[in-house]
Amino acid sequence: MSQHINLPGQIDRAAQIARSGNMPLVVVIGAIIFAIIVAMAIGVNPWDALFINPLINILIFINNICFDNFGIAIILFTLLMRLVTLPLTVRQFQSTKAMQEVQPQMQELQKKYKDPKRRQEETLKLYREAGINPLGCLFPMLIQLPIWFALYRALVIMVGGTPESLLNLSQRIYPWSYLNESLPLEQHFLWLNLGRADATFLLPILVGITTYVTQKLTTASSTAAANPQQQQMTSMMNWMVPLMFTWITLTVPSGLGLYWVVSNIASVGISFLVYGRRISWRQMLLPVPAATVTGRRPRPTKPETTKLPSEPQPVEASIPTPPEPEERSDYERRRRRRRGKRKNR
Amino acid sequence: MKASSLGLLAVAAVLFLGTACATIATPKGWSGPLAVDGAVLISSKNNITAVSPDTFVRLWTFPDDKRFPEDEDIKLDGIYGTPVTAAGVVYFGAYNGDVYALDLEAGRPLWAQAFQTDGPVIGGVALGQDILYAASDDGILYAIDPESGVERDRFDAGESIWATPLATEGAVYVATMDGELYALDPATLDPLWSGPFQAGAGLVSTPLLAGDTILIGGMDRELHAINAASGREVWSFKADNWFWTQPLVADGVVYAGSLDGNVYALALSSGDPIWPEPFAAAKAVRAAPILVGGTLVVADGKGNIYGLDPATGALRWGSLETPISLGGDVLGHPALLGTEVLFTTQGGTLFRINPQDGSLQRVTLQT
Repeated sequence: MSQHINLPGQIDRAAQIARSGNMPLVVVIGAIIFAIIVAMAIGVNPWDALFINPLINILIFINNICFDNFGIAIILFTLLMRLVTLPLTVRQFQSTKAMQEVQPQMQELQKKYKDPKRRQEETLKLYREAGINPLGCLFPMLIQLPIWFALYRALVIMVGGTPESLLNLSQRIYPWSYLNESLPLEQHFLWLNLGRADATFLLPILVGITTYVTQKLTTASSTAAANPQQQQMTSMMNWMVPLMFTWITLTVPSGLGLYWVVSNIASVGISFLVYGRRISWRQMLLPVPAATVTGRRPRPTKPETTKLPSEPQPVEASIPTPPEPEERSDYERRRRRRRGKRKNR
Repeated sequence: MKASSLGLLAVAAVLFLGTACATIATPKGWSGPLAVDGAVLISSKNNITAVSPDTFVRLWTFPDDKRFPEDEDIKLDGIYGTPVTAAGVVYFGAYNGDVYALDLEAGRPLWAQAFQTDGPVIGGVALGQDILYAASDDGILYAIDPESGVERDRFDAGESIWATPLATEGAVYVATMDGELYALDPATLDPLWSGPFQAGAGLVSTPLLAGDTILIGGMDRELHAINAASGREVWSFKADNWFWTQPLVADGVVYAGSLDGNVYALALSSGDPIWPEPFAAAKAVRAAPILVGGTLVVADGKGNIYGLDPATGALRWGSLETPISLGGDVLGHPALLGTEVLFTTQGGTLFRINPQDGSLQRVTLQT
C-alpha cells in the first residue's frame, strides 16, 4: 500500500489539526470539571445545577417563544443542540471517514502480523501516523451522553404532569417571571403526550428506523472493506442498536423520543454534508451491509499485489487517496469515459 | 466492531440503565389529615382510611378489596385535596378523575357510582348549600347533588383547575392554571364579576375568604388579595417562588408559606410585612400553617416542623440547624385534634405534634 506514503507534510498537518481540534474540547471539559468542583464546594448538586436546571430553563424559554408549544420547543432545542455540537459531530464523522480510509492497511496488518501484541503496536502506529484517534468516533457520543440524561430528567420533571412534578419544577426555575407564565407546560403534541411513553408505538418505531438509518450511514462504507467477521458484527450492531433505542423509547417520556427522532434526522443531514454523498435508500434498507450509501466508488483493493512496508509508512488521513498506479490507468480510463459522455451530451 | 457502533451500544446500555433507575413520576397524592367527630381521615396513594381519634384503631379503609370484592377495580391514583365532611358523609376527589361520597361510619360509597370527570381531580372538593363543587383538570367546575351524585350544573373555565374551589354563601370561587379567578353564582354558576381576576401565571393555592377579601397565591410568585365583591386586586405580595399553600388569617394577619421556603406574615389590610424578616424554613413550604395555643406551627416540604411566635416569627421550638423531622415529605395541610396538631407525610404516616414544645409521636394504626 505504498500509495499512502505520498505527502509527509500532510501527516504533520493532520496531527496538528487533531491536536488543535482537541483544544476547545479540553477547555470545555476542564471548565465543566472546575464548575462541578465549585458547585460541590458550595453544597449544590452539580448535576442539577450544571445540567438539569439550565436545560429546564432553556427549554421553558424556548417553549415560551414557540407560542407555548412544547413539542416545537423540543424540536427547536434539538436542532440548536445539534448546531452547538456540530464540531463534535463533524469530527466524529471525519474520524469515522479516516478510519475507513485506513481499512485496507488494517487488513494487511492483520494478515501480516499474527502476534496480537505486535499487531496492536503496528495498528496504533498506523493510527498515530495517520493522525487518527481510535476513540474519535466514540468520544463525541460520550460527550453528548450527559445531555441525553439531563434531557430525560428534565422532561420527566417538566411534563411529568403530576403535582409532584410541578412542585419539583418550582424548585428549578430561575427567578424570572417570564419563565413562569406558561407553566404548567402543554403536554400534548401531535398524537403524543410528551410526558408519557407513546402507547401507539409509532414514535418508538420512528426512533428505531431513524437510528437504523443513522447507524447505516456511519458504518456502511467501511463494511465493504472489512473482513467477514467485522461485517457480521457490524450487521448485528446495525439491528441491535436501533432495537435497543426502540425499546428504551417505549419506557421513557415521548419528548425524549421526539428528541431522538429529530436528532437522528439532523445526523443524516450532517452526514450528507460531511460525506457529500447521495443516499441509496434501496441499499440502505438491505440487511446485508455493503458499500451502499456512498456515491463514490469503493476503492478496489488488491491484497495479493499490495506490498506492505515492514515499517509502517505515513498515511494520508483525511484526504482521499489516489488509486494505485495499476489502478490509476483504469481509474483514468473511466474518468475519461465519463468526461467523454458528458461532452457527448 | 467499529468504535461508533460500540459507542452507540454503550450509550444505549447506559441510557437503559439510567432510565431503569429513574422512571416517570407517578402521582402519589398529598392530602393532609382531617379530624371530624368520631374519626380521623388519612389519605394515602390508593386509599383513604378512617381511624378512631382516641385509640387510632382503624375503622375502615376505602377501597377495601379484601372485604369488598367490588372495590377491586377502584384505583384512586392519589388524593391531593383534603376531604370534606357533612352530615355523616365524606366527600373527596381523586387523581383518577372520580369524586366519591362515603358513609363516614362504614366507609362505603353512598352514590350508585362515583361521579366521573374528564381529568384528574387535583384540588379538593367544596361543599355549599346542598351542593358539592368539584373542580377537575379538565377545566370544568361541577356542581353535584351531594345525595345522589348526579350533576346539577357545570362551569367550563376553559383551562385546567388545580386549586380547590371555595364555596361561600354568596359565591363560589374557582381558580385556573391560566391565572384566572372566577366568582360564580352558587346556584347557577353564572359569573358574578364583570370579568375574572387575572394573575400573571397559574393560580394553584386554595383560596381563602377573610372578611371581604379573597386571598390566593399563584405561580406568578405572588399572594393576591382580591376584593370579593368586585374582583379587583387590593394588594399583592411577591415572594421568590410560588405560593402553593392555603394562607391562614388570624387577628388581621395573613400567614402564608411559599415554595421559596419562607413563611411570611402580612397585614391583611395592606399586605405589608409584619415580621422583621420572614421565617426561613429549610425547604419549600407547601403545607398550610396552623395556629394553636399561641404558637404558629409550620412544616416544610421535607417534613421539618417549627413552632413560631406569631407576633415576631421567632422560633419557639425546633431548630434550623437540627430541625425536628417527621422523616418524610409533608405537602398536605395539617389538622387540629383537640390541642394537638396532626400531620401526615406523603404516603399516609400520621404524626401527633404537641404545639407547645414540638414533641411528636408517630401513630401506629391499630387494626
